[in-house]
Amino acid sequence: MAKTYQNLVFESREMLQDTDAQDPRYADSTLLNILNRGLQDLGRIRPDIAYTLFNANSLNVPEVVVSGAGAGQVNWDDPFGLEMQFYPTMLSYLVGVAEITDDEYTEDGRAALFMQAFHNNAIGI
Amino acid sequence: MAVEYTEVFDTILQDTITELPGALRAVAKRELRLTLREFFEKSHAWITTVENIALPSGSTPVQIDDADANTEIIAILKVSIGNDTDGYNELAPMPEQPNRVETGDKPWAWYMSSNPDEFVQYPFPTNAPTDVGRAVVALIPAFDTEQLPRQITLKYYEAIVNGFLARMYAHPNKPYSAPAAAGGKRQAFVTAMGYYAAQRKQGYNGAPNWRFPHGWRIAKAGQ
Repeated sequence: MAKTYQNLVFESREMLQDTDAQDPRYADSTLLNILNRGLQDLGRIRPDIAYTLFNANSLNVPEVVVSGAGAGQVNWDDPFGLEMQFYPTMLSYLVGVAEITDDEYTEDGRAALFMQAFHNNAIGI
Repeated sequence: MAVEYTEVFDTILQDTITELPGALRAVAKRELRLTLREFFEKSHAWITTVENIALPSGSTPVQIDDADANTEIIAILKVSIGNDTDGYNELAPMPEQPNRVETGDKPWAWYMSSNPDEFVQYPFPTNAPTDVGRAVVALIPAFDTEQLPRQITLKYYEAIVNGFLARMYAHPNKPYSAPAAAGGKRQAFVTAMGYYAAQRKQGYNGAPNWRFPHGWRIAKAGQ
């Protein structure tokens, strides 16, 4: 079964150790915002990722919303629209940016680690 | 007669996956399509003869249609007039429309009115000729076709792969970017286009390159 954007958000929660649905540290809307900014960032450095998804002549990647997607948007339970090779790339971004909030209280630099992984995945081997 | 369309894009793409880490299939396919079009546009290696072209009177242009959705005509290489009983006479190519307006019973020349597939007979026929036209044209794959001719894998495979990889390796800031390799592949591709263009000019069988009558000439690059 195809992975969805929702799967991506959930997988990021696993890595963030934030799987308690009753008392989440990060709201879905927060992670979705991060995901959308990540897609835009990935679209900037790898404009080819959304080659078949760009709306007409725009370079805008689709915005992921929870439901009721309009023009230029996709629902988060839709199949992940990029090639699967960019799924871990987006996962790294999502976890990395989310970790920035937590990094204030730690010294292990996980945010930087994941952001570096995002960058390497996108334009490196 | 040989079956023309036996190849598809996926065969070539599949072969090059290992050399293009991080490449998107849709992007690769587009570059492959552009490579094929460039190869056949510059080499004129893919030709066909269009028969029974209705010829109008006067200076009305004739647009040649090869009636194949998988191809587009990229050049007219030769135009003849005649019929199957008496044979055909080749018309001489003229570089541009003559200043002199000349009419006659039968044209002996032609010039391009709209590149790459439209020409006009000269002298302008007073009446529509009862004879028909025959044209040798060069083809490229249509922009949206999924079908490719058998000659691609039979003969031009290495050249096409080199040209395709050159385009991909030249992409900036991708995991598969390799500017130095792109230059080498591109050089091999360009050389191959010249090699196959030369073969085409000699009819693929080493034939001497002259035409008669009205067609005495040395074929220039791409002709």
